[in-house]
Amino acid sequence: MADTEAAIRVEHLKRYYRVHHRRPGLWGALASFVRREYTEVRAVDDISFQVQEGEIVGFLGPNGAGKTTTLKVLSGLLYPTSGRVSVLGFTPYRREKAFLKQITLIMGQKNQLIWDLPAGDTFLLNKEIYEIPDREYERTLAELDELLDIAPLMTKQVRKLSLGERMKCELAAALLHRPRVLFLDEPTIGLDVTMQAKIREFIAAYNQRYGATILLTSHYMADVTALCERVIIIHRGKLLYDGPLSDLAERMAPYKVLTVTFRHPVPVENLIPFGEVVTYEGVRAVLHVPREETAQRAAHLLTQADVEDVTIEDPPIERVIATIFSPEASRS
Amino acid sequence: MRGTYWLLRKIRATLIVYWARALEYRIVLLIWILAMSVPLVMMAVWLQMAEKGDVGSFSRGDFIAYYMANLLIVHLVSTWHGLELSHNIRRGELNALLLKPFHPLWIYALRPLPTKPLRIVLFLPPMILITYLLPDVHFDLHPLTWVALLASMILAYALMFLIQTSLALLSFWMVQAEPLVMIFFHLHMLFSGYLVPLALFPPSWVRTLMWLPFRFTLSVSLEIVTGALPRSEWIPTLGTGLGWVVLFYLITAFLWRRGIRVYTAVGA
Repeated sequence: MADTEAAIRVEHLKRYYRVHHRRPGLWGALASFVRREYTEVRAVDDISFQVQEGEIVGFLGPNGAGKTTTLKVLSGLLYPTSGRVSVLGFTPYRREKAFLKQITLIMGQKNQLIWDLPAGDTFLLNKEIYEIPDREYERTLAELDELLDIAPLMTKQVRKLSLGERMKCELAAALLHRPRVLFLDEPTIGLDVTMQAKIREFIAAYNQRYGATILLTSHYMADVTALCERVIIIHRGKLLYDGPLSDLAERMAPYKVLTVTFRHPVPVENLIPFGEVVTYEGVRAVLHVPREETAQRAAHLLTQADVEDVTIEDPPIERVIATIFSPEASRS
Repeated sequence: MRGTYWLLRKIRATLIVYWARALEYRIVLLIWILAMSVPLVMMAVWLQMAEKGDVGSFSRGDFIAYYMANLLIVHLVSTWHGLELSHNIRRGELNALLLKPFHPLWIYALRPLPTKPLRIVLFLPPMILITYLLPDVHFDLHPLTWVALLASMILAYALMFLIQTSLALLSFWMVQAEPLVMIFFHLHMLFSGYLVPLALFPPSWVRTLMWLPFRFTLSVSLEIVTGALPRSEWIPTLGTGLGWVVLFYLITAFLWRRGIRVYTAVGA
């Protein structure tokens, strides 16, 4: 049963939904009552990847790309339409007890804490449900408190906690059983910048301390750049990229960013032959230059103008991702 | 053995947590309990009708005994989880429970139980008081009766739970099965003996109602404690109730296994 190679293995995973459509309004409701119209939505359409034990992988894509569906299949909530999925050697949809005791799925917008009771009560319930011996529970709780500072929150009713406080308790409740695989779906959504940073630090610390495998989705690139060396990008159910975050720009962005400072103002017309002028301030300009011609054009610019300083960089990761998901890119 | 040990610990922890939750809202809990005092209203109606003599086989004392027992027992064997389960499936709120190594249906089965003792505390004393104060009111309080009563109540709760669960699980396919659960509640009120003792239905109806599952969700317990069901009929009657429990258990297990395959886990 144990899989020594990869903690998560996904092979040709497909998950399709049948979605019912109806026009708005009374007539739409009546027409739909008599005759239903369905379409098939290919939420995940033939994706394959593997995640090694201990890796943190960013799982990126715009809304509706299929990220959450994939996480739900991996955590055993959904049956795949076809394909093969294995997590720690288990087939997730069978939801065997030994499997469920080793994974967790945390969704930033949903909670498992019992709303009307202090978080400590949910912790105690989870202790029994996950069959955690007393001493181990005390030790894990102390460690989670050390990382998240949750002790003062455990006696407050969940509904009276702030969003950030609640997220900390959610994380603790979901990690009491020390899962080996974490599926994190937008864990920092809605949190302020300070709390986002704290949650990120916690995820990194948990990964280091327990060697956990983490698959993380987030719309905040700061989460991804801080935590993930590797990213998987999906769009409309298809896998677009799987590789190091550092190579993403090189592979997916066809240009580099050339920032030039001149000793004297230079007319913008003189810069147009070198690339797309993105910003222009007389003595300073930012240009997008075709990746393969960057060195040649930069050298040419140095000979043509009185340049004080020049830098050549990859575009920011946010920009690269935005470019990948732009309508133009989707059409091409 | 170890599995049973942890199962018992899980059950205990669930009961404690949901007991704590019920206590968070003491007033609401009390209102809910008192709102289920319909049998008192029905008792008043029947007592009025029985002023000039017995109604069917029921004297005034029989009506009082029947509805006083009803008031307590209906609280102990009731559950309304069907609506919540259906809602949770439709909204994807089953997800959090599905991820835990404890079958979600345990949670739905255990949640209503912690407040049952409070209902005993509220309704048993007046029941005992009335038994002693009113000469015409009789309960069968033989030790054997308590055993049969307990068995009938366990069957009643199990059946209430399984019927509602089977209907609610249709939400996996129908999206909204709440109306089916509501229809069951209405039929239950009519045919379980909650509003009207089954013995007062027309004889042709009684023959059918005796075999339908509704009777085993309440009436059998009332028949046992009021002495209306002869001891010789206890075992076959409880056996029939057990048959219904097994049937609905199989239906529930079948629907769960099939339904979970088509569950869309919408939302989160």
